[in-house]
Amino acid sequence: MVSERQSRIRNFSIIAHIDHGKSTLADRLIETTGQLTKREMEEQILDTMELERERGITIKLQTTRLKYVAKDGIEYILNLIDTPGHVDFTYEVSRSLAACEGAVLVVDASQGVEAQTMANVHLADEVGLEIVPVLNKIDLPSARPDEIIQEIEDDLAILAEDAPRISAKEGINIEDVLEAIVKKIPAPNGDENKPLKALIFDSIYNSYTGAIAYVRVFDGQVKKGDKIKMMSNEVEYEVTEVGIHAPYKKKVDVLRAGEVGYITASIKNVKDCNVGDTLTNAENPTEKPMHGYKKVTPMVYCGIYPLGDQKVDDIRDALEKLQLNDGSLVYEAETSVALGYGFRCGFLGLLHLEIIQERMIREFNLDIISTSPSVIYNVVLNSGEKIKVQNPSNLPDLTLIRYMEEPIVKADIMVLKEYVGNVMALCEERRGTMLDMHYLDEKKMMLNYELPLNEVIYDFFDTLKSITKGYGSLDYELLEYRESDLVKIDILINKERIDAFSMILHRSSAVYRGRRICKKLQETIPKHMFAIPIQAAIGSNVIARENVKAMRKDVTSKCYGGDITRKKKLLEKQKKGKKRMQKFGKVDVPQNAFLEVLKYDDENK
Amino acid sequence: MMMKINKEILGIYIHIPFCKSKCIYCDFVSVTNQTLIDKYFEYLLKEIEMYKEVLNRFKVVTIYFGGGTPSLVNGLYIEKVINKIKKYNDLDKLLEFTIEVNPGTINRKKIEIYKKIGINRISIGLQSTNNNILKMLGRIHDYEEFLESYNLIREVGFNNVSLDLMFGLPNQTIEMFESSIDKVIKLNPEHISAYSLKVEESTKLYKLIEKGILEEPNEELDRNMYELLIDKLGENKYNLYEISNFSKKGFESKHNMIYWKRENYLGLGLAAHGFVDNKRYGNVISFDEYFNIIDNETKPIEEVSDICEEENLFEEIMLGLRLLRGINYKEINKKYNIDFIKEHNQEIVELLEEKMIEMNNERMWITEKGMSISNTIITKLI
Repeated sequence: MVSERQSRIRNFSIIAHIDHGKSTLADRLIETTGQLTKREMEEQILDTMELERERGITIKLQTTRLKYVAKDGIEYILNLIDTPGHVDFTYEVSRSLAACEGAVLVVDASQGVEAQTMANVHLADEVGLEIVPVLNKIDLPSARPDEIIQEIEDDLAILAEDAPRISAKEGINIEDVLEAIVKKIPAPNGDENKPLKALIFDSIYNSYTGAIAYVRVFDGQVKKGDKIKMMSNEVEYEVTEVGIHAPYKKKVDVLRAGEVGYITASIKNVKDCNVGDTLTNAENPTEKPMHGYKKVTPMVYCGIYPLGDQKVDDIRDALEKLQLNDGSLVYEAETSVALGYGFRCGFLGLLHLEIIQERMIREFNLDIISTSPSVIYNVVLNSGEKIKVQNPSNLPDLTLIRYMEEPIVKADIMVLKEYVGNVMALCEERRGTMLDMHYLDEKKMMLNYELPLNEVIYDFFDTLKSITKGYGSLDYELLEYRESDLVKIDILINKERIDAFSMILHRSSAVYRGRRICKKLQETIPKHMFAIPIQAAIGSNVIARENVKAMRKDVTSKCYGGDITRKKKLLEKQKKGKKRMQKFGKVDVPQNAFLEVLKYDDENK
Repeated sequence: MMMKINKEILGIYIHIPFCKSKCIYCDFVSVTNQTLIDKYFEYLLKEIEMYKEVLNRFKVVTIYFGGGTPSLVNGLYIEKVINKIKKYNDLDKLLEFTIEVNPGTINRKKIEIYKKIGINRISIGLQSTNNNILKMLGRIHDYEEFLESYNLIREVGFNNVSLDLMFGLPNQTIEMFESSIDKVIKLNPEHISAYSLKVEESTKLYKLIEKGILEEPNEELDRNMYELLIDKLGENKYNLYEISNFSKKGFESKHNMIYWKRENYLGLGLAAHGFVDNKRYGNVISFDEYFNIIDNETKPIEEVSDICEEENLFEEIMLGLRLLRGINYKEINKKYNIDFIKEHNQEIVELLEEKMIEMNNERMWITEKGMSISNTIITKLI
């Protein structure tokens, strides 16, 4: 049943391959519907996090309500739910899609369909969304709209003949997009008289109001004073405020079926506001929670530890707050011989890990160090017992192990045909098995590989980008666990085994990885008063070795004319740099060393 | 009478920012435009006026004319400056009065004026005895001209002369440096300053290295030269008493010691730095500003900073450890109510193990080996 009110609502997301212009289109829609004047319009308003702007990718979901008077003379409410755009964040895309009836699919009129386009369309299809294709960047000389329309129809099986041809950057034909949204995307159904049923698709922690839940109301209504309940854990709250974003926060009296908005309810414990949970009325609850919520489990784990005087509790606090906005982040307390008390944290991928780490440093002002990332391995002991290991230092003694299994993913790699050779060589090097390879069109090919996840998470994506001049794209999903000849390599700095650096690797990659890690550490660790040997070892067998030479010169020879201030500043700076280091025995290691050693580096190619 | 005895000591640094031409490694404030000399001294005298209270209050023990090239200007200018200072301080406790000179800018008359006005120490810039190196550095003299100047200075009767050397230079081999050291030892100066080249960004040298015209100095070679220097000078009764300074017994630079021991010193002239009443200050670096501010009857100071308790400690350690005799941690403990050894226990143990420092029951000092990485060592102890 669709009420008159509901018939004027459209809930939609914008999906696209990275760089195809999703954020720019979102900005343009806000501007065109007069939500903000041009002067107020900051570039890419939806990407509010500093980090996101720097990297040009959306991590946190943002939502905004637009008002649009269509050509039929009716004023519509368009709720735009923004989605992130990186392979690590498929989970966040799935949450926002579940809150919509339709999705605007932005395709670059010169680049065409890419791996991420396909992956997103697949996700949207799964939740039954109406897909509205849009051709962007038609102003570019390289645009070939007719060919791309054919590509969309052939590759994605979406009718695209009358797709709006726009330039979000230049503001060309933006109205066509708004009209298509109104005409093609169905109005939300649902009954406002039924018990409340609302999907939490995002949440943010606020120190004044407690957790803020962003919801899509499917049935019923919610207003200030209502008693609500989270269906996963039965915890109840009283609503203190409901409102919308337009695009700034604005209080409203009530949120009803079909609408999108936020709820605050003095939710103090951040763990009680889980993204994907269904929120209902405590006194008159709905029968069943929402489905369509797809829980994604972390693929990459690493330890995060305090550096210097930083307190462990501050890290716990930050993780708790970050987790509120990011259901894919998990953590639990652990200890390391080298680093003391800290947390083992789970992430969607290496980028996700890096972003969380950077947010902890920048937004929470924490001094932290993170250990070598790892995937989860299944270890079958001689006793027949099967255990999961995501921290290499917890790997039982080899004599106790019958065999080990590692996660294998199915990876879809789209690439221009001239780079296929490079990509095949890369996959080969990373122990990949080709499943299939076919042309998507005259220029593009799709390669399907089975790859061990621990070969993918480190620098695979960066390497792929580099060897395909940026035209390669990657999407992957977990396939299964398989028995594998795995070994643990340890890193010894100045003859001391540093448990935080230990990694589990396939025997065939051990030497290559070991060498690279030693080499990278040699570059990353500053010179000390003494020479520092860096070794990689399997058990007691050293497989790689480098040396950080002893420092020979660090002296201010001349203090010009009594200018003490200059020298003082120099030493203060030097001292500050020290604080960002973790001491292992007598050796200072920079806080980013663990991540740096795994990153792609052109010199290694 | 009692009042006079209790006066604190003061050093005076006076900056003369003029050179005949700029050496390629130099990032000090100096210009080659000599038309400004007369005006500069007129304003320098006005600046001295502004410090009459300070000059009156302290016991002046050292004066140092640095540059630039103080010997470039007519000796009468230097005399005027001294006469001005004498208006406010009789200089009867003056122990050391130095002027920096460069070969090729002095003659007998100038040196005689220096002698007459009370200068008792001359610091002469040699840098190298190798003429190719001197030419590369953009020095205005060759070794032979230096010898002339040096002999002249001795003839006029100066018995406290310091020579400046540089090492770790592009194209400089260890043999070249050794030959410089040998020649210098034969000249038998009372004091030798030897600076390892630091390539500063704003210099011509930096650009030449960037363009690949000159080769960047090799760190290993640089340190080998330093070690050779310490050995050779040590054999010839020159003691390393500070990172870059060597002297015959009793000829340590008293003016420089004022810096390291954190005594008061006045900085006068463009870009000069001072430390008076526990405040550090630096003068402006542009001539226009210098003139304008003085016209407004204000001291030409760019920035002043009060040194707090914590900084006092920081400076005391940082500056004290530049000296071979190091710091007296017993006194420091008392003065700052700390336990220096305990607070840095782990670092001190490591430094002792690596033979970077040595200590007894009241002092701690950086070893000759440690001097090469003194910044690293100091950073561990502050």
